[in-house]
Amino acid sequence: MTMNAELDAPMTQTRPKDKGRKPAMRIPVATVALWVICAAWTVLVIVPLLILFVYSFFSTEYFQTIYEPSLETWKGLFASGRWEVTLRTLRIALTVTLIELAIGFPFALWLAKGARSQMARAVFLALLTIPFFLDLSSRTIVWRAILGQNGLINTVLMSTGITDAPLDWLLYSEFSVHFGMIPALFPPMVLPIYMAIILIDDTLIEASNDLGATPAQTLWKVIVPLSLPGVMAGFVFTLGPALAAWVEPGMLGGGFVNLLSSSIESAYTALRYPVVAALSAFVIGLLLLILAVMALILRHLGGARLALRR
Amino acid sequence: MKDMHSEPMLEVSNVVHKYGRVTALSDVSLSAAKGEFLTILGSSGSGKTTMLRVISGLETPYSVNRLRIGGEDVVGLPAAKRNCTTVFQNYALFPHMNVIENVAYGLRIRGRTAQDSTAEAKRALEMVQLGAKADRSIGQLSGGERQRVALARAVVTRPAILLLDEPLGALDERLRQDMQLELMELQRKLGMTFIYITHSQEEALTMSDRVVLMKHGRIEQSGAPLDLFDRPVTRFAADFMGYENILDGKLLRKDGEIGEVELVGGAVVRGTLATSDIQPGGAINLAIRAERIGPVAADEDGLDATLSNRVYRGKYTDMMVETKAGTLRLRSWHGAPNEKGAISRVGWKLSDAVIFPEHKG
Repeated sequence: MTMNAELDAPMTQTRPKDKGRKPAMRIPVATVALWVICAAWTVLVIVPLLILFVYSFFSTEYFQTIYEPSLETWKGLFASGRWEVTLRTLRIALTVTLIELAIGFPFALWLAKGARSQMARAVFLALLTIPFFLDLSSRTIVWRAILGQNGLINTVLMSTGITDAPLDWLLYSEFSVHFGMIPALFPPMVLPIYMAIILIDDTLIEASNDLGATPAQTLWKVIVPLSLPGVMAGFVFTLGPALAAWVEPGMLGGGFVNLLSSSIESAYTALRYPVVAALSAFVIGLLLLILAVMALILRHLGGARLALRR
Repeated sequence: MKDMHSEPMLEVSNVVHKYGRVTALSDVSLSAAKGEFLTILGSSGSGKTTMLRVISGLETPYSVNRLRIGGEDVVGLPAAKRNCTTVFQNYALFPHMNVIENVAYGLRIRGRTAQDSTAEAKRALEMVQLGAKADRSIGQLSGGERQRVALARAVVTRPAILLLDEPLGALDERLRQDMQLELMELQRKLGMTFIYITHSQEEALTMSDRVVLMKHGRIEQSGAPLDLFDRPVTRFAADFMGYENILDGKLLRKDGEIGEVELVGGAVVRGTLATSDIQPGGAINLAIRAERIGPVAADEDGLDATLSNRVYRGKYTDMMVETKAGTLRLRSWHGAPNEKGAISRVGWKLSDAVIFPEHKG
């Protein structure tokens, strides 16, 4: 995207000259804005990431960071049995993302094309933004009261005689971590898919019906391929936070579900900044790896062609 | 209709459709024979597109008595199961498929093999002279080429009826005229029934076997193109078919097809009755095309006139004349003898002045 914008820039620059307007207006606003944004993005996002990466090649001794390049931290990272944590993080993040996709796609489809009234659509879109108003930890902590040993669900289950003893897997388990992440990460999955689907011209769907396609065929051959850019975006917006999640594992995992984020947190508390840096870089690396694999799969399916052609 | 084979390809009777409280179609009936080119003509909001969508199944009508395609009852049948396809106004080509994939779509959907449907799609593309562009993406095509792809995609499955929703609306004048001829050619070759929607009387007259003129969800008039052109039966039809002069008056006498009319202002003139459905004394309109009025000698039938304005329009000159019955417009083609002459009286051939009953409201 950035590349395209840069390629376009010289063209916009020549336009005023062609039309013979004021020669003083050589540099159009769009070009300036583009460079300002690129510069700001570099300073605010890319440089810190690079610094983080550089930090991971330092080491710590007696709570002091030693500013000498070494591979100590990285070696320690792989030696200290973090594989298990990494695999668990990956598994949970991917599971949550796939569950979001499985629920989010049909919901987005209904919201974009099935919702009868504008009113219903507006209400649901507003509901989707509610999570952005409230802090994640306050939203998450409520579940303790509901899922706990003496929580709402267990009380109801026991008082109605469905179970004799409280279900202990409801809280402080992988179940509760998944459960806590799903509502939090639903909007980031639904909204990009919704945007992609609502942009699909209704007449394309009608044309598909008209040419004899069953609803399932129209879904697979027209709607899904055309919504792939949104699905990809939703995947990134969900998987990223899921890999880095620490509120839900912390509050609902109760120390039983260790993810990379808790490793980062404990390293941070121990002032081992190079370890924090290495772990964070590792998470980013994992995300990039998964996205690369996804991009390959999509290209194989012909979806990338679509994303570029638009 | 004793012969079973002459059963119409399309039969629609008493369709009513409403969008909320707005009635889009009120009690419309329509039929088309096999291989007929039927045009539904009307301005926007006349219900013509709704009619097409009801036939295709993309719209479920509020109520319908009978809806048959190729003799098969299709009431309640979804669009996918009806033996007709649509060429959409904006073409509705799939942007994620290339030209040949778009054309082969209907065949692939029906479970035909990739090889088989590609070969068939290729033939359809050649029919619309786009064989060379099979591998292009849709974005690389011009408007006229997209039009042809949409056409090929719709006919490749050999439907009984092809529905065309203002397919030439987005093309420029020249291309539109070429495509009109191509469409007629294609229709003849395929022997398919075409239901064609347009707001252009010129398109309707050029291509159709029969024209149905719609207004506010009702059929105003239907018949052969020449009938609509020369014998409009209502003021709306006359106006829509391009009659520049429509005068008010009342019928004095009937003599077979010829009627004698007293126009507003007292002048008495004669014309041809469009229907036998008018009685002397009834309020009528008299409609005449501008190019069918010309200067006449003082002793001939017509109206005394004085020239008030003359506008040169390239291929022709428009002249406004004042008469007792009001302002009339005359048109003389470039090079015609009366183009620059003085005018004191205007007249017309009896068959060029159409008399039909005036409808109030």
